[in-house]
Amino acid sequence: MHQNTSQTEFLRLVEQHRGIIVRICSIYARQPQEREDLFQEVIVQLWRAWPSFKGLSKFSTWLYRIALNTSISGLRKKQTDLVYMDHLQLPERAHEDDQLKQEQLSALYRAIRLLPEIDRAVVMLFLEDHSYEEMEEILGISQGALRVKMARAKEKLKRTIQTIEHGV
Amino acid sequence: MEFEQLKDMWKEQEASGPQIEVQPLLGKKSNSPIAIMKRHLTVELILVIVLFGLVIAYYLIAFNGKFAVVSTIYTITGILFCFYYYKKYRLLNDMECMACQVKSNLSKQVSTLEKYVRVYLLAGTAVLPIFMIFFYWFEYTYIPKGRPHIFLLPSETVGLAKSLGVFSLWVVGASVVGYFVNRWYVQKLYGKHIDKLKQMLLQMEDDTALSS
Repeated sequence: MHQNTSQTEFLRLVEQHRGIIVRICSIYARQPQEREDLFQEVIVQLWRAWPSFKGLSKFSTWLYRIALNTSISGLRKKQTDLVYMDHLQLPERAHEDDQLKQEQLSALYRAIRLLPEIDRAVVMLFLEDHSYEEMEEILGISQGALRVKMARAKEKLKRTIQTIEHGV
Repeated sequence: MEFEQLKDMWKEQEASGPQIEVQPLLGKKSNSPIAIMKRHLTVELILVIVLFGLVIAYYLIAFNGKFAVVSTIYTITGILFCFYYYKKYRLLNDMECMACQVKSNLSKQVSTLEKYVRVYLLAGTAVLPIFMIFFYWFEYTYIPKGRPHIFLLPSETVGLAKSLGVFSLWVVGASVVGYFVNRWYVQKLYGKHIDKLKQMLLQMEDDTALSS
């Protein structure tokens, strides 16, 4: 009975934060099959660690740590450099400029995936509006170092996105 | 495009990622490198138990139990192997802390994996001289003089000192070769992964130094 309640609570929280897992999988795996494998592995790791979650930190902080640890040091298949459109989407609207936004989002993902593994995590947390304090809590990198990393990553991203958009 | 625009776009996106139901995944096995290493270790342990068990049983029954000492030696070696597997399993269990900060998890993985590799290398290198010493003693004690044998044993024409000297050279030579072969193999198995983990750790530490 208790286990069922615990499982229901786990499933509810995971569904609520599914987007985070999907985005992490998308910055660490290029191919759809790799993303799917990584998604499954993250869920398995979350479920294995669930009994030790005492609620001392926010569920999202705990989830970010496990998902990033799984992605960074977990599945390490050789990734190919095939370019394809990402299947992450903007909300469906009838506007014509959505197509452009979709392309920009795709370019952003591709640019992030060109960054070193640790920088990808930093950029993602920054884009998700986490404070440097929260980023430190998740990654274990000092806030000063995170600022330096972020400044460098921003420059790299800008340059890469420009290159991708201009089709170079 | 400005970074703030990117941030807005990121927030607006809807994740349509893998449409996988979560519940059925809860009973699945992990496919992380550490989980795979644990499974391989279990298979190895089972193989050792089965093979050693067969050898132990054979020497207890065959030759009217004349060579039962081989069974004893294999039993002792088997127990040592079990201890070795237990040690490796413990290290694998300590290797990851998924709910820890990314940096401390990486650091834990690097140090534990290096310990794991040292245990692997030490045990792999030690096996050959241990077995050579056993076989030398076995031939000396159990093989009748004049029968074919592998090592140069003491006899009317060969003194004990000469026999032990030649044997020592064999042991040292085999141990050196065994050590390098093992080192190459361990490097092939784990070298790249350790280097990659260290490189990521360095990415985190480099910037810490820069910011201070």
